Amino acid sequence: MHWIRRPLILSLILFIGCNQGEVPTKFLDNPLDTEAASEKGINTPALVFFPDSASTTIGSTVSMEVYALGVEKLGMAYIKINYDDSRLSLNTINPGEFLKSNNNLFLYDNSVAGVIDIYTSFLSTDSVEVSGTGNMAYLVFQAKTPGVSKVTYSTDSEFADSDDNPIQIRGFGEGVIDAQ
Amino acid sequence: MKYNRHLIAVLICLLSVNSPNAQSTSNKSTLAVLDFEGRGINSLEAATLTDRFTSEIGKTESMVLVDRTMVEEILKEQGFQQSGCTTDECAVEVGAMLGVQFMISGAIGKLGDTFTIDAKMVSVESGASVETRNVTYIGKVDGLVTEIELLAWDIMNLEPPEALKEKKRLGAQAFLAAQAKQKTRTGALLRSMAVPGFGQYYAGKKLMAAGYLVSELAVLGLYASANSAYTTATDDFNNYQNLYNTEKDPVMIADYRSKVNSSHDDIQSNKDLMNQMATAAIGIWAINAVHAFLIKPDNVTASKESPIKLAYDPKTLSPQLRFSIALD
Repeated sequence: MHWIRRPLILSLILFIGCNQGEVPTKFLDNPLDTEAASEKGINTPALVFFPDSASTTIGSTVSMEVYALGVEKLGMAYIKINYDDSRLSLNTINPGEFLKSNNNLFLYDNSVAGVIDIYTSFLSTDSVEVSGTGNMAYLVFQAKTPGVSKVTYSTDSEFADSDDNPIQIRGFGEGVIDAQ
Repeated sequence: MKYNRHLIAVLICLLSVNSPNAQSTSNKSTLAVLDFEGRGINSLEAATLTDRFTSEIGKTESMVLVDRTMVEEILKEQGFQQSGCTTDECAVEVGAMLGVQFMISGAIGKLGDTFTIDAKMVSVESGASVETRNVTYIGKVDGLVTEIELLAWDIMNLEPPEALKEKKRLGAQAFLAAQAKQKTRTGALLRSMAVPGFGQYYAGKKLMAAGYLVSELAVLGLYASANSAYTTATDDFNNYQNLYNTEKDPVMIADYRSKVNSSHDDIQSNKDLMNQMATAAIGIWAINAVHAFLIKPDNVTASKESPIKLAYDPKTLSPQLRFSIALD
């Protein structure tokens, strides 16, 4: 009867080891997904960061993009960004593609600590307005001290069409940078 | 495990109000056995065969058997060797001293390859022969053991057990070999636990064995299919989840979102199917194991008679309806 032990043990292992499977958790929280943004209470048109969270180490840089989400007939924008200047410093800032044309305006001011003011608009006649979701600017921060810091939009930010009619910004996302 | 074990034997008397079949030990007749006289065989062989005969008489449980040492003591007191007490008168005399109601004496003779056994049951009270049996046997001496065992049941007017009949039919050596390979419930259980249906196959229920095996394999096949689909869906999910997280194009984001949801639903449905199949597989496995334990293995020596039998008991002169449940 000893011969039966091996197949018996194998059968028991087979049953015990049966992969019952797990259902992974889905994370549908892409900041550029209007459905996900709406679930988070960010209604369009909105200003969001992509990615909305990032990790870095002290002295290293981390990139964040400024995005206009679900906007209609955008011609110009004033974007005011606040960040914790005790933890982060602005390394570089570059214009995004959304309002980019042969002759566009892109100005920024970082003279006030922890505040970035961006002014951008079309100046040429090849494009006057854009709609949808698009990149407004590229930001690169450098982590100074360890900790989690937020990058937020000020509600003073403004969207306007080519005739300077204001477009109400209904949602503001925020970015989180975790410096180790 | 190597031996049959009849755990329950129920005798119910019907059609007879005064059947004493269920009498208590105190109501049973008493009996003593004298050593059979050896004629052509030595006294040691005769004593060995008498031992076996006495032992088998005890198994019949129809009379209270007096211990042979007591018989020997009486014979010694009276100046007999057991083999010296061969007449009915001597048997009656010894029986009276022992206080038994019946005595059995006999002789075992050998002529060439032919053996003869003569046995006689004498009433101590009347001195008359109550039962007389003669057996002639041709063959090896080991077969004589079976003959004398059968004789014990016969002289008590009882039907010998099926195993004993089978032993006579197969021969002692073949019977013992068959007993050594006795199929057991535990053997069937362990086999079925190892491989579904194997216990049933072992027990001789080949159709059931095939049924369990095919059912188990079918369920495991469905499980494997669901597991494969689950793995594919999980890979798709992880892939689409990564694409969704890094995508910047709103159209593609919506597309990946849809695919993440779809693959997630696939994972859930296949996981549910896997759980159902695993439960079914374990269920079939458990039922198969329990069933293998409950069914009676087809043994060579196992009783093939119906569990309900109408028999006539000549001792009580009454018919009996006999139930027997073998739990071996």
